[in-house]
Amino acid sequence: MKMISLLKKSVLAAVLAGFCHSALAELHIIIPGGPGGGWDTTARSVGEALMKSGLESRTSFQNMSGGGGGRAIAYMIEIGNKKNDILMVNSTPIVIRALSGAIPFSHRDLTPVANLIADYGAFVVRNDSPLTSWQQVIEQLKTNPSGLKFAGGSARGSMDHLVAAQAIAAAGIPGRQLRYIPYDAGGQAKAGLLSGEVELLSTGLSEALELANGGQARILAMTAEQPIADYPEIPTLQALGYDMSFTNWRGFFAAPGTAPEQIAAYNDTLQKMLQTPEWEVVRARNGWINLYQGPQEFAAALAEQEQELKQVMLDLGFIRN
Amino acid sequence: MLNRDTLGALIFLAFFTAYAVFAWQIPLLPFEEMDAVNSASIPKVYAVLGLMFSLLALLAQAIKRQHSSGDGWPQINRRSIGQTAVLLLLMWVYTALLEPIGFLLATSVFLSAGFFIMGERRWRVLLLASVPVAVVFWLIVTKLLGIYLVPGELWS
Amino acid sequence: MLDGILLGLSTALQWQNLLYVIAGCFVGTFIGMLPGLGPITAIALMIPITYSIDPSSGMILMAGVYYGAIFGGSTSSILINAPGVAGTVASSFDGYPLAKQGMAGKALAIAAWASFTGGTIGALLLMLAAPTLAKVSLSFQSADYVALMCLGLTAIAAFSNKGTFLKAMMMTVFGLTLSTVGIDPSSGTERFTFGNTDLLDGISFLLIAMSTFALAEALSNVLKPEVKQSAGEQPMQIGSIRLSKAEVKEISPAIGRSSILGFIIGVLPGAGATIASFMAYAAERNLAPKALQEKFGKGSLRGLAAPESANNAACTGSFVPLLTLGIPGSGTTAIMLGALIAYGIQPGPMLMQDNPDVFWAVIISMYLGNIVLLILNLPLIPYLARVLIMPKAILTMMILFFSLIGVYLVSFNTFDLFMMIGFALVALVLRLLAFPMAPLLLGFILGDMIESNFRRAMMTSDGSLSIFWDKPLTLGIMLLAIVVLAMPLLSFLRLRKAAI
Repeated sequence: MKMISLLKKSVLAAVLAGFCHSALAELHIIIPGGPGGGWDTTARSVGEALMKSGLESRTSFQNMSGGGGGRAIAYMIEIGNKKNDILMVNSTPIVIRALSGAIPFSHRDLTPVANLIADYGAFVVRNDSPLTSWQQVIEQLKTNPSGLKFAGGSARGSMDHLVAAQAIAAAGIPGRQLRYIPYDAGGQAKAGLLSGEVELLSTGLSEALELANGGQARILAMTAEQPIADYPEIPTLQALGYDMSFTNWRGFFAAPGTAPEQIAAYNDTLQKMLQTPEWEVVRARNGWINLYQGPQEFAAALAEQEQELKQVMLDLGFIRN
Repeated sequence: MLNRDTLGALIFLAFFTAYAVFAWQIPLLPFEEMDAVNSASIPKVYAVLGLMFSLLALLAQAIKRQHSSGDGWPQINRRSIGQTAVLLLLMWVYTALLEPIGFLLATSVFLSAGFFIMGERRWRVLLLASVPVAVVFWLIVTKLLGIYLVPGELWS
Repeated sequence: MLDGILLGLSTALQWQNLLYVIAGCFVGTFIGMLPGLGPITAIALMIPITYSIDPSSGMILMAGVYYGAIFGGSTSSILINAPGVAGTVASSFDGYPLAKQGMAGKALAIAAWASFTGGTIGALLLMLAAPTLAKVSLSFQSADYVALMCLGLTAIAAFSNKGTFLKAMMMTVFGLTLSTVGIDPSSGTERFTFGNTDLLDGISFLLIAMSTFALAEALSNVLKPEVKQSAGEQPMQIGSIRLSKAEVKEISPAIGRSSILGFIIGVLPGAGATIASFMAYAAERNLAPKALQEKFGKGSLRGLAAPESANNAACTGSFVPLLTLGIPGSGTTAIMLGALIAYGIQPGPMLMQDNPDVFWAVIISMYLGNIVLLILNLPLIPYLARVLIMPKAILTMMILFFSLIGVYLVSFNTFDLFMMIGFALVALVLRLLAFPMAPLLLGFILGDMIESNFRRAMMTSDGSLSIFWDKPLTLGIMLLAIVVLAMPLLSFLRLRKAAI
């Protein structure tokens, strides 16, 4: 009898302890995707840097994949300020999906906190490809706009497609005629390029660098505004004379209606984190490029990107007016 | 007259008809409307295939019935049906309660109620078999693996 | 190459790496047995741990977890018909009947040995032919994948014994239709979502597998309680884990063939352990003498050994494109790729030259992982099989709980759980109406890949169907698929003729 009552008491204690523990304040990050994906890596790396440098005592993560990120946004809007210290990581696809209607929300439904890193679009060919420069690609496309096939690791109408279409539109070729072949994932798209099924690959710069450094492919151009310090030999589209740039940013959002002091506090912590050596380890490891933008700057950049992409998507027939 | 195989074929016929209706209504994006093969193509193929097979099955049944009486129904007693139905209901309740009252409480209730339905009546055994399982599982998942489990929205 | 092997051996045999392999296998097996947490989650969770140790050790740990998870998945597949890992679905077709017949020990032992052999043969092939194989992995294009998937679909023939062909086909098409739910990846259109945001990403494989296999099985055991045993009878036997010489002789050729088949399929970036296991199952059934063919699906030893060796060989094969080209063939290898990059290692043709220690360490550790798994798991089998002897009430509730929570841990979406309950009910009804469940999963798994590859092939060929017979490779596989599929159709027509 005594054993059982002791057992009952300890179980009760454990249960209560569990409840108490989880009610303590801590930085909680919502990830709109599954484990191992881009958002997940970003969130966990930021958490790692924050904890290792001592800026935060505890960060926890919650994966909420589904609905292309829409579920996590819905959660943020609903729960938002009922809990302390929740942030959500997100990136450019939220703008694209909001425009295409894939998610019933937009960045305006949340409060932008800060942008941390940026990735850019890049165009890759096989090492043995007859195409040696982006200008050559444009020349060929001018005579036959659908003559070259572009691979991408996401569906038609998503980022890889949009970036490529925008790039050729900047050279005067109608983006609608771009021949984009969608693959299920980045890895498959790479296989498509290397197996000869397509001539070009439109992907993120970090992925393109993997291929190029492995010696199997060449990067013809990328969409940053300025050349990258680590790889100055990769030409930007701007440098080649085409007025086009595209940034895939990754940053944090808070629930709508979060107090400005709270936003400022987050920014303070994040800015400090960017200076720490622990962050530099994480950044270099993942091949990211720092691009800090505070809340106002971030919100403005989002609005600008939204307008730009809306036009591109209208031109391409991805959205009706 | 209505044997197992006919009923099965009829159910699928109904399903594939519904699927076909929706397949023909798939909204196409503007740039797709011109394509030969688009988002609706493959679903239409599946719908047609499905309808074909269900109709063939019904046909086969019609032919076979002239020769045999068809498969019998399995023997099920009323108590088992009741138990199964209650278990399904219990799962539904568990899912509905999982986020509001939290993993630990919901799981303990689910497991104890389940054992009860299955015939276990000793309440000590009920509790001892359900609560520790829930707690251990919770510990492994949240502490060891670092996955976040809702602690119960009603009280946080 | 010999110094490479020696280098790899010396790295892999360091005591801490051995410890990592063992730890990885244990953790992986445990995680694999829990339905929801599959190899992907397991490895993703391991990554932060691996940052603090050096790259070769990290990869060794992850490889151990990967293989452990596959074996754990086989265990739950065989014992409770709850395949939590897509690659182990085919193992349940004959593994579960064997367990129900009181031969759980033998089934798990066969799974262990078949997996070991498959993985070892795979590792051998990897060592001997990795760079050449890289060319193979790039020789498949979208049309070839379509042909391969069609060949995989012929595995339905394996479930159509005498008169259930039409039922199997209906279930297959049902599975195919389920795979169309969600946003179409090729174009972004919403299909069959009825405005529900939770359906935008489609239905997950785990959800369907758990509800139609685990939940429906558990519930149908409640619905149709097995005949009560009289007091004098033995409770459910586990059976010994020893295999007789005759049995070993019977399954060895099947294992050999399936390993090679599985490895080659694994090398292709667009196909993995799942297709490999289904195709090996189908191949062995078609190659078996008529008398043994009938046993498939009812507890055939070959039917269990084939998919088990194929899926391990395929896992090993999937390292080829990863290491030699930097192309991940599956979610799991994608995460490993991320880890490699994070360590500063560039997979690709240069890997063998720039970081030979990592390359060979990974390969040797795969060998080790296989051996460790065998040594660890064979003695565990009697304990694992004890699961079956649990009182029915507890076993049922545990299965219900693990299935539900398993899916919840992946998506954290209670909508998915409600869907599961719905599917379980449907599956229960279908089982009562004598429909086979396996073709449903087959259709669902292959549906995705068939459609996206087909659309891609049509896009690259500008809408011309000739792409499916232009290349000899594509044509060859398609002809093979047609031949294999035609066989049961012919026998079905013959039966109908006899009935009229």
